[in-house]
Amino acid sequence: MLPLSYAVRNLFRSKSRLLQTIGGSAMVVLLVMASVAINNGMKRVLSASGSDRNVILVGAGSEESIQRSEVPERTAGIAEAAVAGITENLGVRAVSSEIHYMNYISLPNGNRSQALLRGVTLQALRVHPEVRLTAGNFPGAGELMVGRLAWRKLGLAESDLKPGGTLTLENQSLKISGIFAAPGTVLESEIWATLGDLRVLAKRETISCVVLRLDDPADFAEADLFAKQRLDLELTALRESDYYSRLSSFFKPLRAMTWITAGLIAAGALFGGVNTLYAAFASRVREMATLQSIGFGRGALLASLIQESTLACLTGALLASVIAVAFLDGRTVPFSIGAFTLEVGPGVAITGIVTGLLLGLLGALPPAIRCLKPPLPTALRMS
Amino acid sequence: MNAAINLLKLAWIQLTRHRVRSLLTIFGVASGMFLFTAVETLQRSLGKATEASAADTTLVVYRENRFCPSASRLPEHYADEIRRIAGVREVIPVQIVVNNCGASLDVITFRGVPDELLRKFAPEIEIIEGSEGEWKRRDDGALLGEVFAKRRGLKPGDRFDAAGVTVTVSGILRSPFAQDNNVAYVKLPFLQQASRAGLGVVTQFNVRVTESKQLEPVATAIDELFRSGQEPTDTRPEKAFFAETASELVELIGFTRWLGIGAVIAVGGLVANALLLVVRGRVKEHAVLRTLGFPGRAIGWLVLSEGGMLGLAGGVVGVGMAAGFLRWQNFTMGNEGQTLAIQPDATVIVIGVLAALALGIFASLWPAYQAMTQPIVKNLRS
Amino acid sequence: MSEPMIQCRGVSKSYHKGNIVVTPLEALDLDVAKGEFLALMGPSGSGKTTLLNLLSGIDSPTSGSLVIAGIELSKLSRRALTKWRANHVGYIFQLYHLVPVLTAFENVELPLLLSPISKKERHARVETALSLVGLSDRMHHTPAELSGGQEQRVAIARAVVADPPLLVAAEPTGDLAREPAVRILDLIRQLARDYGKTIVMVTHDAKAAAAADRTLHLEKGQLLENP
Repeated sequence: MLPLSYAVRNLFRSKSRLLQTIGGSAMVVLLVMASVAINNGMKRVLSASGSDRNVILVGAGSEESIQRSEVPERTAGIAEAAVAGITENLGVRAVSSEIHYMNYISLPNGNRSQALLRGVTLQALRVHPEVRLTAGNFPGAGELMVGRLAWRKLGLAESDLKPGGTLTLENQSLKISGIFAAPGTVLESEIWATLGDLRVLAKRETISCVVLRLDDPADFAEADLFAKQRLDLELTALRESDYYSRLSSFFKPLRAMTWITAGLIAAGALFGGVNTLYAAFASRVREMATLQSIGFGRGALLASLIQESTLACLTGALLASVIAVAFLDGRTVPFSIGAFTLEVGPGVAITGIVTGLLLGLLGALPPAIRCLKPPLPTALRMS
Repeated sequence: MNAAINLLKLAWIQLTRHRVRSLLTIFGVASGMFLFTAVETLQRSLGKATEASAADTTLVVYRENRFCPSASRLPEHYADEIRRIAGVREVIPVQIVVNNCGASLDVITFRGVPDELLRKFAPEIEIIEGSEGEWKRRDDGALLGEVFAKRRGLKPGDRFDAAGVTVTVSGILRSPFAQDNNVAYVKLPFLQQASRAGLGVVTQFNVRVTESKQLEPVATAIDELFRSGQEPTDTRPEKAFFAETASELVELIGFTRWLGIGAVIAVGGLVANALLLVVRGRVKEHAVLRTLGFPGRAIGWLVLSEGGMLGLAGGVVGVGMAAGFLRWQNFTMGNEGQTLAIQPDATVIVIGVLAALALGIFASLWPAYQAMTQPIVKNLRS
Repeated sequence: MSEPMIQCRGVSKSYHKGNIVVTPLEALDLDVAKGEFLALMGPSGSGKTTLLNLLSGIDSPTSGSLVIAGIELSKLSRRALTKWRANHVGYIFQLYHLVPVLTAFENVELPLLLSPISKKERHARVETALSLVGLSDRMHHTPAELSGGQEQRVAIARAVVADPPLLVAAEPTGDLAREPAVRILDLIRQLARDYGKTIVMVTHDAKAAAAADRTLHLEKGQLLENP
């Protein structure tokens, strides 16, 4: 085997080509890492947002979008009594009537922005235990509670939404009474108002859904049976986790776009890289032949050429990782129903390294084989 | 002139006889141009849907401050009052039901119109399977857009349900407006009941005015009429309505502009890289040509020609594949009840190919300069 | 006595190599008659190749006068020199320097691509040149499919296809075995004798020099008739 230092020194033969390779592979690895981080982030926030202990009763036909759903007001009371297995605490069952509503909200800076509003009662806290008040109070009449990441969705600065501030909805000024956190879920991008307020503001006679929390996820069958039996209420029962995973598949085409873009650019970079290496190795045919005549086998030479290329690509991958950690990690990305945080974790890092390795290997293999192919006598005479 | 053409032929020979290297560059360029074409198609499709033109004569009357069709509820009797406004030619009440309001690719839209007004609402549609008569006869009949029917594998006589509405397919229609090939027309009363909006309530009114000058005055008049009513309205020209409502989609497509720019840079970089390699590898060859009497600019022309041809070839492949793919897949994006058909047209294809050619030539400028200024004696010796 | 084809008076050439100034040619005088076959010999670094480069117009003298076929080369602009090269001189290299992806025919055609003659005329000239060197049956072979001697003959055909009055050859047989070398020298001599070409050949090989009409020796930038 040729020593590694041989590969390293050869890399520095042409500094411009080395920089080109490092730059190109860094770009591709960064793109791949970003795509993986976006993919994971979106999936993570959607899967965390839904608990398998929660059952959502929505209007039949609105399983894909709670906002469109219409459920009679009386449903909560009936479900509370009829469905077995609902979590109970100090005699109170965890049943929450909610209105999910998307509309433009007027901001303190005079702009308008689309916001996700949820009309709730205190029961909501029983059903969504991941929600925690971090400042101020639960909203009363004329008040709002904003999620910790709502500023991102509204396009404001984080400091713009503080308890005591106001937001305007349907020409009504509403005071911000508090801020809540629901880490890793889409709920953090929402704005919560009282059910009564939202009923008036949205001019609804019905609510969007009723959310039940069960002690045992297996009791979902009870809720499902209830929905099927009460034809007069026209309900469908959904596991909250299923609802959000369905949403996740809705975004698949958009996620696919990210991947296709990364793939296309990677392909372009790979073609360019292989081209460069073809030219680079072509001028080393005689050198390789000389080494063979000294006694090094073709396998050892192939390994050395691949070492060179892989070293350069891994350096690019390292550069990409540094950029990713510096600029991507912790960044929040908004999408239609919430926001997720990019995490450059072990999974992303490993994908980046593997990509770098593959680039180095795939990029070098065809040119290296071509370089080593000619029979020795011919190769030794090549210029 | 003769010389220039002869040199073009020589450049072509060089390209075709260095097959591997040329193909690698062409495919790389094709990847970049595929992305560029997809982005351009998105931009143009959006432009066509949102940019007002002189031929526009349609207004959309919507509930003020509402965006998802399920939230916009207007009394059907508003139609009579709107008809009385000067400049109004036609008022059609429409109920819209969609399965999802967020921006996505898999959107199903039902449009409920009074059956006697279907032809006034969409005079351009053509029934290609089944019949309109059949649709008129059934309460729950649906006329499906071609693309929708193909995607779901439906034909006349089938029953299907979506977004909580169950219908029977009466016919398949084709429309010159691409996005209309992805909707289902049903009877207004049926949809009002099926979507639980109730009879007497509609999502919007489509108002045709006598001429495009009348768009603004009529819109103002309508909103003024209902301002203090129970359901105030917001009336806008159809295209402006699309732009404001489907804002998420507009934002998403706006973002893709960056991808297009990225693709252009990548293609330029690829061709420049390929040609620099060529120039570096042909140092002696070029020196020999100089001794044969080829002036520096002839060498430069050779390099530019190769770059231009690589760009053009890659452009044709990439643009062709992208256009074919988009045409075949018939993508439609939806947002808040609005649909946008992503369809490439001849302009996109021509722009793409010309851009690739221009990129190829531009990217070859520096390598050509390098080739032209290489010293003869030194390079003969190397 | 007719004017010499080549007239050098006080020709010098120097260039910078890092901090050092190298002067391969110093105040050189040389006359070469029309149709003469001249051989230049000398050790490495004696300035032979430099002189060849000056005569073929790919380099310019630092001082002195260089007149070829009545034209003062040092007075020509770069552009004019390029044009002059295309019509007045053919260069034969030691390593042939054929374009590897072009056939023999296409290689020989190269000098004519820039001239305004028609395609038909161009093809006729190429065929003539190739038949002159005896390679009509190998027209469509690429250099990889030809032997060393055949490659050099294609290179010679390329050098004469534009019918230049002057041919310069840098070690034309340096890379060839004895037999093909002899054939090449015969061909070059034929070009001088039967076609009136003036030929200046640089060589290390005394046997090759013996084929020429006259041999001159270059030593440290100075010409010697007899060493």
